[in-house]
Amino acid sequence: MIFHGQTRTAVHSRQAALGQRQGESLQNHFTLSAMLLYAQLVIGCGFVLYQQVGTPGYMSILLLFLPMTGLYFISCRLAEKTGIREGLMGKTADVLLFVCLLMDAQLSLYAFTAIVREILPDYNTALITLVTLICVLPSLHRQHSHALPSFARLLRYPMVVGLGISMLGSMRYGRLDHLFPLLGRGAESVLSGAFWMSTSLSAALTPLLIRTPPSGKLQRRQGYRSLSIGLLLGAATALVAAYLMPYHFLTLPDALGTRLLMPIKVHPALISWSVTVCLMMLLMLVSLSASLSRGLHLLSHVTGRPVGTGLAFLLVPLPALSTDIARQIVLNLPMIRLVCILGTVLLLGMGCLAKKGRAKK
Amino acid sequence: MKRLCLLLLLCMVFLSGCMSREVEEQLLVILMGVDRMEDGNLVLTVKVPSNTAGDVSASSSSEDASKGGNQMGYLTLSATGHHFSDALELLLATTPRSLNFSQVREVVISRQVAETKECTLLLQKLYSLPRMHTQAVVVICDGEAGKFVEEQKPYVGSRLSRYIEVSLQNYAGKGFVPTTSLAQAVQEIGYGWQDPLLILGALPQDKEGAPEKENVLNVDADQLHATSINAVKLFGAAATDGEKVSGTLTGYEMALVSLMLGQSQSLSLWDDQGFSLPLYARAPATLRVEGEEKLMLTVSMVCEVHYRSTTPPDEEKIRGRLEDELESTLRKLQSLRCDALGFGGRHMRRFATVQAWENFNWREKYARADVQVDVQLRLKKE
Repeated sequence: MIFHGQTRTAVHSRQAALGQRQGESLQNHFTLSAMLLYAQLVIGCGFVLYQQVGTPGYMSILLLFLPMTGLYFISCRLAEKTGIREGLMGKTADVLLFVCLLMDAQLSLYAFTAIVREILPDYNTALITLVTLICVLPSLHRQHSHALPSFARLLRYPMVVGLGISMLGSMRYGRLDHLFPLLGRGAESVLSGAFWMSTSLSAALTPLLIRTPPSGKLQRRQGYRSLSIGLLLGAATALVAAYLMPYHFLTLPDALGTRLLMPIKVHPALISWSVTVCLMMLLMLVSLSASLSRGLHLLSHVTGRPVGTGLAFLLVPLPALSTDIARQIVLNLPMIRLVCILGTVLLLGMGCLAKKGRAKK
Repeated sequence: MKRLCLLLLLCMVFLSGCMSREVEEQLLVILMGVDRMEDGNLVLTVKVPSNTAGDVSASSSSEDASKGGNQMGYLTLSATGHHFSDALELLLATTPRSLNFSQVREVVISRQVAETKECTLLLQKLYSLPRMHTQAVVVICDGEAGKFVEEQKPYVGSRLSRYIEVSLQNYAGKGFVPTTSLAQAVQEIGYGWQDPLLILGALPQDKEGAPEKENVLNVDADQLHATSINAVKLFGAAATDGEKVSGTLTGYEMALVSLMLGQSQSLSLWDDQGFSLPLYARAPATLRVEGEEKLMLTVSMVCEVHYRSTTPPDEEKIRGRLEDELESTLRKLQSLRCDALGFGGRHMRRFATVQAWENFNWREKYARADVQVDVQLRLKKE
């Protein structure tokens, strides 16, 4: 629309500027999703991968490339269809995705409190949980929904550089022999590890949360690249942990905080000790905020009105406060997440087909 | 510009120190000792700085105080229990401050405890202590670990922790003691990659007469004919067989092992006239394992001998002597069932799974394997 006094050139420039801002916003969201994916992979390593798979844990993560790619492009296709999230099936899919994001938030908070307790054992878990949630609260305000993705974009290079410093700094303490036997307990354990970790791929459904326009091929490619980098970083983290510690040591049962910070405990004289700990804490905080804010956004879409943060504050801290609940969640996590992710894709797919059928009639 | 300022501000948040207690509200453990008494009880001994001006340590004399050497005294505390956990609980309950293990430099275990299967479990328990400094070295001592802990003082400088660190760096740099930390010991013990060597220590004993062996360095810590300012002696290594300490290596044997591992690059040999011939190995030894049922362990090294005399020394003689000494050390390690060089780690690469490796029964085959040492020697005039 051209207003009186405007030239076509000015309008095109404004449209181009708007398009550019939308593109940047989309890229920021994908960067945030990549961080979410990396955080969930790191948590998965601490919970399950090190203990059950051991040395070849990085192989389990690398096997996720194919399902991640498939899930990503399916969600891109679904996101292009307008209106599929409006019907009953679309809203049910939103609820399932909310459950998935809620579990991500719970795990992130549990991991964060575990890390803090590992370095400051004198502090009460409930106090740490409460303070963390209060710190995260401002990021959940719907008017600031662009702040977190922008922050993620700002943080992406320092985070990668920090990770690089941590990993490279620790290399001199490891041995190549620690990577053997290559298959650890066998190919079955690698595959079961990959199955468990594949349920962390909810970040590949980002296009469903942020509508990618059909013409946004460039943004889609960049989004896929961001997620791939997140996955590769997860694999690199598992590989460095395996390089630092032999098989039997990696598979020792221990508390989550100890396992997440195991490379540091093994060699606390690492130059990058503080960088590693602070990066892990920052990553968990970003993961918690992002999962929570996206989950609440979905819930608001389902209910049609803004949802208060009280619900999240009631549900999120449960595993951090009760080890029994945490244990139950860990046991049932793969199935719950798998049902949620597949359910979301199936329901939206069915909704899409139903809409097509109605349109043909 | 705003983003950069925000990022810098964010980074500054992580630069604050994190400690929940003041220094005077806790006791920083520098040394720990574990003994087993004759009645079967376990004694846990710790040495902590008392953080007071002047020397108030129970183990110091008034003469030291009058010299004004130490600005800070040390306290030696101990507790006795049936198990390590009991002794630790008692110690924690009876000390006037909470114990902080983040500054431990040395963990001393008496040889009596170390030569039992309890050794592995004890190391794991020590490793698991809250905020334990897992880079602390492990010392196996002849005699009482408690006395060993008590005798250690900062004879140079004022801080015991720094004194221990620098002393160990000095000894390890010469190759006469290993550099195994508590973390490495816990990681490596028992699983066949590489068996850790632990530092061997002893309390001084009066040695009269001449040294018994031709090579004065080819002795254990308690047989050293030397006096120094240090009340305790660290020399040689305690070999482990996957479960416990199975024997000892002399200082010279440890120096040969250090040379093979690449932990030290030089060693002194002596010719027939008693002149020193420095030997240098620029790279660690190359290890090979061949065979299936009967293994052949091969060690290959490239060494340089520097000499100053006008006539070069007998290269063949030196090479033969070096090969014999290396082979003898390897055979001793085999007899102690200690794979200190890491042959197991090399051989494991042939196996795809942990189960296949465990079924191979490496330890038995290692103990029965043949040994071959190849040394390429070069003479260099200085």
